Amino acid sequence: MPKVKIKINDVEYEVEQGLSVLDAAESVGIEIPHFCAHKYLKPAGLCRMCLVEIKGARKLQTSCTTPVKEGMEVYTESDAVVKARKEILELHLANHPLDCPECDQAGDCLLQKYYDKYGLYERRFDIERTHFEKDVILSDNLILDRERCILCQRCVRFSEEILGEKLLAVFERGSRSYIATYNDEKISTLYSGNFAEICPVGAITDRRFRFKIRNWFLIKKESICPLCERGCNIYVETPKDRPYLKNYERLQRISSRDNPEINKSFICDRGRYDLFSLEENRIFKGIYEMEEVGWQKIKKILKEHLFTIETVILSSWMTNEEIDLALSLFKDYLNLKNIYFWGNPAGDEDEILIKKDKNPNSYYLEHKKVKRLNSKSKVDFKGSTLIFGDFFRENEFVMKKIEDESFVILISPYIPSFPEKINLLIPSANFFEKEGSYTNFEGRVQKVERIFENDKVKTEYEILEMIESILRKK
Amino acid sequence: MKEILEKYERKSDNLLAILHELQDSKDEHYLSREDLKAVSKYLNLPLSMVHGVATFYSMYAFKPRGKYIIRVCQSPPCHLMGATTISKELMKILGIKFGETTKDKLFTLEMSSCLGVCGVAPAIMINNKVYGNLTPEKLKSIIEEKRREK
Repeated sequence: MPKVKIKINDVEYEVEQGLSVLDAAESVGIEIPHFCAHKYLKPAGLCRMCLVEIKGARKLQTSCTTPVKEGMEVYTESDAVVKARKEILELHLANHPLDCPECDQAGDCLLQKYYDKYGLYERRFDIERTHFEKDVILSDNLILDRERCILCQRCVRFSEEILGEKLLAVFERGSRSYIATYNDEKISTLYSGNFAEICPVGAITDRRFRFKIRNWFLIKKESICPLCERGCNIYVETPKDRPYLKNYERLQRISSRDNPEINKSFICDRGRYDLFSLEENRIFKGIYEMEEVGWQKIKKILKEHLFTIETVILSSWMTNEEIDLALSLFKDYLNLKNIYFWGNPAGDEDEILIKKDKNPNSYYLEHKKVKRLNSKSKVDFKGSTLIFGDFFRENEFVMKKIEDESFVILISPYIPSFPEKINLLIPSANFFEKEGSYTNFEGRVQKVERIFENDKVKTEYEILEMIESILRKK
Repeated sequence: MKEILEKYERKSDNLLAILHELQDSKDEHYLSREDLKAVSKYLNLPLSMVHGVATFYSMYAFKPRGKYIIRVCQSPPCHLMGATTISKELMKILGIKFGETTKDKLFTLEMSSCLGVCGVAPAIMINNKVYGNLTPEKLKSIIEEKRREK
């Protein structure tokens, strides 16, 4: 990209040509306050908050719609700019209900953030605020408070530009205008959660997160979404370590994490809401012939049966490292022929984010030439069988193929769906409790941190290490 | 409705003109949900957008109005020449307030910005016809005439 030289606040910078002044300033670390501008939406110039002074221009200019030019001199904090910002903020707040104490957005709200810096602090309007509906149900996940809305139209533009259908629009005009769907129909899209996330104020909020916990009590931990092979970047939000937050569930919210090459700053509703199901139906104790067993006993039983194993079924929810270790043990060391993998069955796909394969790591297994099990594959399950991961409820055909005489060892974080077939169950860590890397559909390797600690279970990697120690000792 | 739509090319530029003609084609002078749906389908525009554009302009109505729409000019010249008296007189004769429709669905009373006929202030507009130099007596005869016409 060709570069141009511009001066921001009397300091010279080299920035990419074609950027808006707002993006150019951000690229060199200067923040210009804004509501309607969004990294992945076209500029609209609606909120007027990003006004800056440009030398030679007659009036203040909206930095989101002004492209940079060679030799441009921009002032982002001059007296005229700060005065304009204060007045615009005053107008944005003229009809704002200021119900921050009961607003879910509080703490993440741009109005609060900018008012802290550019506030007037004293209300100059002595007229009553205009009133709108405060509880418009937009969909099962979304609720709209029209009084809090500042009409930045991010939601309107998101639905138009990213989803490709205009679900929302501004109705009426001037001080009476408001955001709505036609005839108050409900929004039905697989990307509805993004409306709440993209809203810079508390107008559209998440019904599933409503009144659950205050924003500032949450820590955002980086992860990826395992629910399809795209591997969207997400934040897993968990309560801070405080005595008064002890009784809160450890998983409070999933939000999107910006990655321009994978998911931009959007995720689908499956990632946002269905990931909570990974926390359900957990099992924390080993089970041998319908009786609870501890780790010592598990190791002893493993020792007896490990060398009779002839079939290994890996899971497409294992990390690259776990797959590598498993293959080096079972394929290279034990020379087993029957190594397969399984996972959630394929589903729908679209052109925005959702991919067909509903597992995070099928690409890597296929890359390693492991065969995928499906209802048509002809397999003979001989001897003992070692299975990784059982949360693929629709994959019962695998379990049905296993003969009753076979000794079955299952390594799973969840209560098995066919307990009568399983002889030994080893409890393992779920997705949030292990670290490693996953390979997405285009071969991109992404690292995942351990988000939650759990002493009761071992990760698949630790269990594989245990197996390794048994194998190598013999 | 189909005939009106097909007079126009399927271009979003025609949206306002189509809405106007649809509204004027009815005695009740309003746009129903079916109208908006048909327009959105015909022009291939999102329904929310059609509705958003239509609500933006105060000349479109979404509830049934009267056969005669009386717009009273609210601009300063008319005000000086006695628009207030005219407004009060109209409310008295028709027995309704501004923004309302008479029970016989004949008249709707609306306020309007300048009609551009300041030379004959105070003025009102009934549907597309302007009446100027009004006095309460003149007003009475106009309304009675309209009532007889039905």
